[in-house]
Amino acid sequence: MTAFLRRLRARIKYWNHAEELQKELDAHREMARASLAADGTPDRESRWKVARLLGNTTLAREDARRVWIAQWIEHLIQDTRYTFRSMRREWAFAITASITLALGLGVLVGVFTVFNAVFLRPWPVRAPADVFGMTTALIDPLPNDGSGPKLRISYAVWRDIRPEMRSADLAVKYDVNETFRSSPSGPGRALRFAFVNPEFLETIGIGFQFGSLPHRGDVYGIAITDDIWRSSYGRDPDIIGKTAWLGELPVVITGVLDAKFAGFPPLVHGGVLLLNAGASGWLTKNPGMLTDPKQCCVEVFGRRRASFTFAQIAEEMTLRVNAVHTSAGLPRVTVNVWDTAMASKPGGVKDTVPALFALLFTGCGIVTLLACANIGNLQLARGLRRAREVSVRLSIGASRGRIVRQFLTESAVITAIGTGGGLLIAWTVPAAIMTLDGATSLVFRPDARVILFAIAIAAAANLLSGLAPALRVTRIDWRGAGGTVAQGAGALRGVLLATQIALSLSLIASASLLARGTLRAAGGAEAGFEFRDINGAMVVLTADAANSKATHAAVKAAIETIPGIALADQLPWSGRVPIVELTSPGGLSKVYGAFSGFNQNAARLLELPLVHGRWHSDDVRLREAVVSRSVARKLWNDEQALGQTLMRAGQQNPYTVVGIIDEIRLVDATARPAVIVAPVSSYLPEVLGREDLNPQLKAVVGAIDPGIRVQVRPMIDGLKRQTQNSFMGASIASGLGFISLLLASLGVFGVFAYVVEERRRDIGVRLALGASRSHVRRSIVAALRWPVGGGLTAGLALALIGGFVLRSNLYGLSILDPLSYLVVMAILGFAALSATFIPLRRALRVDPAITLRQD
Amino acid sequence: MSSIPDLLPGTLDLLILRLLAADSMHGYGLAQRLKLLSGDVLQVGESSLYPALQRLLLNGYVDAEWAPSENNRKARYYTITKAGRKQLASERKEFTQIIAAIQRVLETA
Repeated sequence: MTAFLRRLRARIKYWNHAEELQKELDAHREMARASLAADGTPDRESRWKVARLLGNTTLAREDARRVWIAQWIEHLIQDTRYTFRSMRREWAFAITASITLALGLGVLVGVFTVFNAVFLRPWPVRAPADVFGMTTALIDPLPNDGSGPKLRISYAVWRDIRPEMRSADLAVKYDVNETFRSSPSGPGRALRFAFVNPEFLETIGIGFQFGSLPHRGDVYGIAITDDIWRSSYGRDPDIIGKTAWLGELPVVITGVLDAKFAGFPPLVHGGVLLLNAGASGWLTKNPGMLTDPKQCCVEVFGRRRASFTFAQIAEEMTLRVNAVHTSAGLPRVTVNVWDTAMASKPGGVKDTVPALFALLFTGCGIVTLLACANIGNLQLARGLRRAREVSVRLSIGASRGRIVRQFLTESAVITAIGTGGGLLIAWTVPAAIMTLDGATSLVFRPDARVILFAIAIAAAANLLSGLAPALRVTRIDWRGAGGTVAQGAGALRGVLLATQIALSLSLIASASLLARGTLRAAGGAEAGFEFRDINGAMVVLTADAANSKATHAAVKAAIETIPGIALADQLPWSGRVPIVELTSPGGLSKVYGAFSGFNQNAARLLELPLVHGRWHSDDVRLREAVVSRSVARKLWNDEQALGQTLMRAGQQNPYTVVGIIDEIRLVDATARPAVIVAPVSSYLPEVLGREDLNPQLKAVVGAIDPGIRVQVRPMIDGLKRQTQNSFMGASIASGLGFISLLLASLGVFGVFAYVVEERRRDIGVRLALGASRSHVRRSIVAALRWPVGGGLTAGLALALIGGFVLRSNLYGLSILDPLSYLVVMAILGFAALSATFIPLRRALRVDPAITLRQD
Repeated sequence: MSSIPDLLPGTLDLLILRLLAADSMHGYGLAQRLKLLSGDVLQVGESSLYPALQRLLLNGYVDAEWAPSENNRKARYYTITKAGRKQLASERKEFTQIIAAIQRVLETA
């Protein structure tokens, strides 16, 4: 180490050693010459003698320098200097290549930044490595007792096992989506809010800037995030005690959370509230949520106690959960414990927007490949222009490896500049996109992982874009020394061009399909029932009333007295429609379907497409149900379903099928057409209607308790929320498609320009011999017939494959959707025309006289 | 006449250190002194002398400084450092052992 430091010091001390050495050698020679002159040797002779005595100065200097600096470093420095000199000369190439690569790398590294933020970063809490979440899996898969798969445990189970746990402190959380308003009529922000147990924040390690969680049970108190404090209150220091609105529910602000905590990743949370009896009644419209072990479910988290491992925690929890489950008649489960980086959660990466990320990585990978292909193309053209230089160097003894290294250094410099630009893009763009609608709890700063990823990709890009051209160019037949290029460069260029066209075509086609599909879906094109102008109204009880079964019953009875009222257990697309397991008696065949309670008025209001039989009775005790065709087909044989019975998992009595409806999409816009429609059974149903529901409902429920509020929202909002991700996917894909089109156009332009340049003499001769301009144009276009044709064909094939892969995100749009392909063709055609316009015009302007004179 | 590369490896570095131990000197002075003391046997060219000096500099055995020479030209004077003296002592011991060993082989074989 000391030797190293000494060397370092010496190096710094004699930094300009090259110059010093030269001066020193000059002085040496001068002294030698002076001493000879003193002996009477004539000046000319002394110079010659000195030269002979002392040997080759250049060699001496090189040898002395080599002591300080390894040869390969010296070569690297020389090559880098040469690159910068040539970049100054060919600035257009340098800028184009750097920007191309910055775009290419930027998008890929950007996606990785998002991926890193979403999946790989742990929670922003104290000692995140000790914090864990849990899921459960059934020990006996698909039990016949109909309890169905469960991934979480109920609040009551958590409450029972928590004091017993020795290996960890457990905490519980229940998320809701709500609109936050700082004033009753002010603008709202749709966010997620977490209801937690009183010790949650301490256990998980989330602090306060000031204030605390509410302690009083009679009001809803909320600890808001820094983001809300900033955006809605302008960092008001006197915020404690102010009232805000969560949907229709007034809440009192009791604290502001730590600034670095923006939510439980990847979701943005607006704040934390206390999960108490009142809250639970309001949340679930189910007074039993906190007491009944069979009520599903809450998210359980915890902090590991010293000296225990996650495996031990999982083991202990499995034992304790099963003890409670057994006594409550629930199935036995295995508990899995995962740390808070989402990637380690079982199925975490797989289940959370995987399609979007797979799509993004593929799309961005394609753009990066395009960028590399393009730079490779430019490098090749540039290398061939330097054929003479290369052949001269090879013929005077430079090794091929040395020249290849030089070419690679040149492309490495471009890559380095491009990587810098790419990191800048990756740093700013994803954060900008992801925070468009306000805030995100994710952190997009590039960390070591992102930078390593960028470097790895850059190294690969450098090899991809630099090596092939370098090898190609150095395969010059040097014996000719005139720079004749061996056959094959044209073929390589053709392949690169075809690749670009194919990739950008497939990307634009996918983006176009995705955009069309999402637009259609967000408009409800595939819903299969009437939803326009239909609103859902939810009755919001006061904290006290929410926990009283009697109030629920009274409110429900009051609502039902309104003539012609349309009721539903859950609003379609609200994200609350449960998916349940349905079995034919004996459990021989089963199907998962969306279980929706509608009364007959609601079924008619929504114009649910009844195709056989009749509507079910509104009386719950009769247990009549209507099923969708796919349920009927799966369990029986279509029409034979009428009069059959089926079981809902977890319930004792069967339903009798009295009607069949056509496929509808109740849960989301994508799929899951299997639906069972049954009588309304919830404690407090949702009211559906076209006109303003508020006054009528208020009049009825106000008589029971004047504190009761009514929250009305359009049904289509749920669908819009669901398609938001796809919209983002479609817009990102379109952005990528645009970039790739830009790159491909650049590629086409470059290749055309190069072909024109290469054939300048040929064109001149042809024109001189009387060839028509259209003939010349045809001959140039013909030269690129194969790459362009091949690229288009391969691109179409890739686009079809892409469409097939994406089909679940197309919301029922055919992957052969003609409109999408028409759009793609129009865009590509325009791009191709623009890219070839200038080179072709240049080709046709070739003056035969000038060209021939140049020879 | 023998040129330095034919000597044992590291010998030139040793000789330079020994000369500098007596007095600070510039490159030309070192070459002249070596030639004189060896009775014109050891004549070093620039291509051996300067890499050796750079090596010594890099290892911190000598220091260099520009100063006016005897005939008022500026020259780079080398001075031995403490580390250089230590290195000289150990290399000299090693060299003596090797020479003695070679001598023994030559005489007894």
